[in-house]
Amino acid sequence: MLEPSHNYLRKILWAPSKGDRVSPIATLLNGFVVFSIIAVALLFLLRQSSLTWDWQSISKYHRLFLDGWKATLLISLASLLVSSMGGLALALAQSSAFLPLRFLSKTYVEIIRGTPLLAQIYIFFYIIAEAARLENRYVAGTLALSLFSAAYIAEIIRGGIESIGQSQLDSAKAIGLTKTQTYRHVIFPQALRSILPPLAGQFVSLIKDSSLLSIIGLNELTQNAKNVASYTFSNFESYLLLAVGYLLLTLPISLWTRWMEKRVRYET
Amino acid sequence: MKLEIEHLLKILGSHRALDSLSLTVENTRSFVLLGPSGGGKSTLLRVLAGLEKPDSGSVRINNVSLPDSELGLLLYRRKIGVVFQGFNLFPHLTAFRNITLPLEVVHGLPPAEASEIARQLLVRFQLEKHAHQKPAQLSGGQRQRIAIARAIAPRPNLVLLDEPTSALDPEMTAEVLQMIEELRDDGRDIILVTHELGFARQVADTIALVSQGTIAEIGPPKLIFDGPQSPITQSYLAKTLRY
Ligand SMILES: Nc1ncnc2c1ncn2[C@@H]1O[C@H](COP(=O)(O)OP(=O)(O)OP(=O)(O)O)[C@@H](O)[C@H]1O
Ligand SMILES: [Mg+2]
Repeated sequence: MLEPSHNYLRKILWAPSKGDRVSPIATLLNGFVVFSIIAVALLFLLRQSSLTWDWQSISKYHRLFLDGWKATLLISLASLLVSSMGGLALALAQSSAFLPLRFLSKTYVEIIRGTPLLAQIYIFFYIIAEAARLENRYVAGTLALSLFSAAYIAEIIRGGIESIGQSQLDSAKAIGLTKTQTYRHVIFPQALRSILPPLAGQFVSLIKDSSLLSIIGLNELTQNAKNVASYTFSNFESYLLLAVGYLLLTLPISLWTRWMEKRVRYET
Repeated sequence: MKLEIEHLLKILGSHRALDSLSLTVENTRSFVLLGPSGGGKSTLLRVLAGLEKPDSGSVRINNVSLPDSELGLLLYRRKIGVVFQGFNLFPHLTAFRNITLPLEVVHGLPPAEASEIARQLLVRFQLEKHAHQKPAQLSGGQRQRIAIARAIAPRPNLVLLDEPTSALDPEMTAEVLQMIEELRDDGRDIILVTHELGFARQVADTIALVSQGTIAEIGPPKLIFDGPQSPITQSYLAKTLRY
């Protein structure tokens, strides 16, 4: 017997009971609905505003956009790597039994989190990089961004490590795991579950924060988009491209971490 | 097993969880600890498991003192098996991997050999259906039996169990108790904390009553159950048997 049609509609519009997956058809249809709403809203807005689009003058500068995007990609990737390692080291230092190390790490995290990135970039570039004879401004900028992000990642990882219950640590100890083995086989795999969502958020922030590096003259995406806008007076087109450029970097991160989250999921 | 404990002191917070506890047990395969809640049974077992260092006193098992150094304790823990109160499997690993992980990582067995040992244990205890399930998908009794299988997989001579059935319903309790009985019959020494008096009587060679951080009474089951001398034992048995 066929189901009454309102049943189909309900299955498409409403999430199934907890634990069941949303069906592919529902995903597709709802995705289409959201996409349509955005498209209609955009079209409406563009009609209302008296903008005239000028892609012509911008297209001359497409190389600038592409180069800027590539620079942002490289800066982000490098910072992501360096700040993850730095954040891990800081988190481990905070649970170290050696007190000077623990306090040093805590102090670092508080200072970085309590001051604006803008100030940190200036200070790093004009004082620290200068003193260290670090001349490449791309390297300096990437480092400044990494040092900033590492503090946040450290807090995320520390939270994950501390979420592991004492009984798990006792179990690990009782079966004879060393400290390192306990981190490797018990703490990290379990902590990953609670670390992943905020970590994804931090990575996305990091990519967007890289736009601040334009203040020390890095020709990354934001800087180049600003330049094109001022050459051509086509602000809207430039900033629209800018937004799309960042989305192209942040979306894969979100999708990847969602996929990872599913893989490390287990019930407790 | 021969167990000699002298003036064991363990202070938790400001509480003397073990208060100059002394005992001597000889020619005992299975040693059962009974006693009122908060008496110090778990604390004693944690010291014997090398998880907690006593503040003073000495412990000798088969004429060997418990090691003092961290490294000594690590090596000691690798030689014994421990099953805690409640559940202590790793929730992110399957039942099978819970058993093979310590074999491979701690005891250095090649994966094939570790898998074979795990498989045989699971078959022996009728758990092979559950090999690839994670702990959350298992019943309490199944979880606890996997935990025991994990503890005995490296073939320890001594197995310590802290209330392995306290969170289980009667049917599951029976499953787990049967498994413990088999361990004893395998010739492994066990030290067991339990409130299952019938089982204690049946399985124990020696029973100790732990109360207020010390031993109130110690002896063979017959003595403890049929002619308890200490008023603490008498009231503990009376209370526990009433329900
Ligand atoms: N971290 C702690 N700080 C202070 N006191 C503690 C701590 N841990 C345990 N205690 C106390 O130590 C005493 C002994 O506890 P223990 O867990 O060894 O008792 P037990 O005999 O195993 O009890 P149960 O039968 O309820 O498991 C208890 O009175 C308990 O309140
Ligand atoms: Mg206890």
